[in-house]
Amino acid sequence: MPRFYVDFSHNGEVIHDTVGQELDSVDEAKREAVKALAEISAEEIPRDGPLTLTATVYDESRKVTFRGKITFDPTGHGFIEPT
Amino acid sequence: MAGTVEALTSRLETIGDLSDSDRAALNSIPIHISSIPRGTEIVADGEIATSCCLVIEGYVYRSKLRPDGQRQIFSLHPAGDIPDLHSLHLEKMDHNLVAMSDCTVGRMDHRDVREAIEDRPSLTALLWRDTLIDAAAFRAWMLMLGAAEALERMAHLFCEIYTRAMMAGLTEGNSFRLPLTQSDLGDILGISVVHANRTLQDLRARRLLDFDQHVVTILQWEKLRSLARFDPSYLHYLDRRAGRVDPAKM
Repeated sequence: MPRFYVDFSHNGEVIHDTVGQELDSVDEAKREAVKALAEISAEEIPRDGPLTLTATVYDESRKVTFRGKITFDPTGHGFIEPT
Repeated sequence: MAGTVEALTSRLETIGDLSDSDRAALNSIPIHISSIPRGTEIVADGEIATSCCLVIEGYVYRSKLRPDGQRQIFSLHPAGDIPDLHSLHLEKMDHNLVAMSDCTVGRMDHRDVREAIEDRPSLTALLWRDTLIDAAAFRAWMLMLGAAEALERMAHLFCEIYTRAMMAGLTEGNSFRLPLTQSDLGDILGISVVHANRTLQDLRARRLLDFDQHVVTILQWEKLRSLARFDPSYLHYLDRRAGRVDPAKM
């Protein structure tokens, strides 16, 4: 099975996947990365504050096969408006 | 065959008292031993079970496939466990029993098990206690599913497996073999394999454990246990230190 690498970034700070995971196909890699992005967002969003999370999927030759981004943009009660 | 069910008698002794005559009764149960390759379905969801399966070597897991084909793993079982002991009373299986690694298992016919425990209330109670502890472990897991994040839940999983492996005599200091794949990890925690991989790398980056070539090494037990909020009470070991003191130091 081919190996894919998924790097996540959290407000610009990148966490590199140095191990990777074996997945059936480019499609499956995308599906699993999207699921992971949704799961991680569910954990991180309640921590408060603006959040941008990205997942970038690379194949074994380090070619980008998929990229996804989630933005949480809170305004109003409890949040200071950016000046 | 004396000694064949040693894994079982050792396990039972960690959770209760086993008299010499009860031990002899267990040793007298005919047991059919076989080698099971990794990935083999030992008992199938929906099957009418006529025997119980003792894990003698290796790991098995209980799982079920959802209609969309997604697998959920319920529990992992090291040597000494009889994951389908409940089948003595609930004959129709509602999940699969699968070899996570190459295994040695011993099948005991229900008829022979019943004969061994008949007129032995202490042995019956001990086996009953074993299945009750199984249920308590499920509750501890459900609490985790609802409340905790992937990092805490994965830490909790490793704390539990480490404790159980040590109590089953499978650890060497702070290391033990665990033939668990990333896919298995994802399906136990109910998360994407990508998320499981990232979470495991997070645990390693924090120097809490290492997991390489199917060997787990616990590096900082106190910190791992604290992160996991691991309270081993639900495992009901007679030895109160189990799961509290670093297993490598016991």
